[in-house]
Amino acid sequence: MRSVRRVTATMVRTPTGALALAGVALLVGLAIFAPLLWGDQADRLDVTAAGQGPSAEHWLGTDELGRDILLRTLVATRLALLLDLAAVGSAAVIGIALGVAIGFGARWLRSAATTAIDTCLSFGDVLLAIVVLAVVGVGTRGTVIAVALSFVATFARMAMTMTRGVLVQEYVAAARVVGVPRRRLATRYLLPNVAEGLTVFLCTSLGSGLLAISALSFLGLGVQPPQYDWGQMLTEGTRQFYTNPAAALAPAAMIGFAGLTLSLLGDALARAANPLVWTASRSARRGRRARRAHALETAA
Amino acid sequence: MVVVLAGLVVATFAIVRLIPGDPGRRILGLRADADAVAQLNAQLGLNGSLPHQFGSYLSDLANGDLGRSFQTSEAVTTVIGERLGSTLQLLVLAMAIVLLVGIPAGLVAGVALRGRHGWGETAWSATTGVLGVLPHYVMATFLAFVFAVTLRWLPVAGSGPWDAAILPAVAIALAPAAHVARLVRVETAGALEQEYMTAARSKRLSRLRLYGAHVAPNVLTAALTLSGVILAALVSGAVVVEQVFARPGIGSALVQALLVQDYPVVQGITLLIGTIVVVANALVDLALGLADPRVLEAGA
Repeated sequence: MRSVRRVTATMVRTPTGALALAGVALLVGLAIFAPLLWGDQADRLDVTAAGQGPSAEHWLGTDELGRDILLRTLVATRLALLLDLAAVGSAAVIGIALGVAIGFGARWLRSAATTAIDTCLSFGDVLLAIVVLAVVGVGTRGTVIAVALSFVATFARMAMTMTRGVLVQEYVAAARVVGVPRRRLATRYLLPNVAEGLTVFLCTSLGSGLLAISALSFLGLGVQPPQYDWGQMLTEGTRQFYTNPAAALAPAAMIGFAGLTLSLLGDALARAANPLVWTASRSARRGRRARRAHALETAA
Repeated sequence: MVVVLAGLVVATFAIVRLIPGDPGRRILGLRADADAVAQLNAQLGLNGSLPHQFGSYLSDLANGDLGRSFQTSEAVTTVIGERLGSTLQLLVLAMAIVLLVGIPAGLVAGVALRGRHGWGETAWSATTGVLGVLPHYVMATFLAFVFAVTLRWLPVAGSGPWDAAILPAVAIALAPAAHVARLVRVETAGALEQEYMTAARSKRLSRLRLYGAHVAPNVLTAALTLSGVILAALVSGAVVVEQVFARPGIGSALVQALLVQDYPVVQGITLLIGTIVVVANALVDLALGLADPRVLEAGA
């Protein structure tokens, strides 16, 4: 717990960290309170006020059925975050277990798994999720399963690399010589050393997971009415682009905001957890390598 | 690469077979009569044993027959043929933007921001960070709003002339371009500290020779390494963005086919996109070997 407190304290002191924490607090607050406060109002139809531009009554105007855009955008936060947590959370559990198991495995297993994982990764998450959707069927449940499955590969890859990184250390070799059983090796030697890195990766993945789910909803493959999330609102909004651009811009802005906040959080966590690597002088080779690896990761 | 392609063929074969329950029944609904369901299953190639099915799937593939669309009863190959041009146009333009904007931007930033921290550094990482995170469909919405709706410089929808492809191409190219720029900048900063640069400077070479002949080639391989990943990102982006700009490409065909459960089209397009990505990655590896023989030696 002490290390959690230390990391949080370090984060608040840096501008990005403070910004990221404030953004996350705002998102979580919206997810909890917005549906309670405005849930009913956001569903209220008013055909006489359909397709209006911004006004004093409806700050960002109304959609094609006369529902308030601003309220719907805020209320949709809960569903967006819940689906994201469900998809990325399950992907993390499955992927990390898989990755650690492969990391402990024999050499042929590792190279076969690496080829399989890299092939999956080369397709990009949205495309992979679309293929999965073809099998499990379109809809909210299908979207969560599809995004989860397409993220398993990235988590497995990350966990495997980190596991190997720890297993080749001398203290692990020493532990093996003394006869520490494999399970104890995993819980006492491996986990504490990879927990931080995986947490950081989890945060970044939450960001890309949210974007992937919104993308599917945006294509009409994800969340179906009467439920609504930002992606779906964006599709509806583009239909009234010329009469009320705010109907498309508001959900788009929220998707961008949420994605940015979560990715900032990942960056800030990485820096706070491991200040040395991230603030070391530019000429230090380790820093450069780490950054190049990071660039490759984020581009993928 | 052959292994991966074979895996791809098996995977597309598996898509229809993995659908829970009876695919024909699921497509036609519970009230359809048994004859129609049986006929549809036959059309999907679902009769006979699994090895037999796979055999006929392979022989059809070898003859260039991807089946017929349920919806329009056109051959899948014609559906693809009609729409591939529009998507390729988009991809070529986007790739050009990524390389022609990303690499020079990274080079210039690497040279200009050398050894200096502070505002330039902050501005650079903030801009590339934001551009790198914002998803293409959100970017597309903003771009369409600014350039098509507000300024009316470019058309919002349709395909055909090149000007209709500009906005969607920019939308999917910006994020990868930001990643490339970041990577190139880091590489440039590294190259500038090498000893051969000191030697080149001591020869009093002109700026152009210095950066063009000594830095750029050493940085290009890094950018090239990323281009396989970038292509996958662009294809994913094209699938989504074609929807925003109502472009009739293979991406929008895939999404529509998925919505009406038109499995032959889904199968065919998945196979096509997968092949493109795999072949492109192999080509990148080859090009890397030619550009930098050290890679091949290290790999062997």
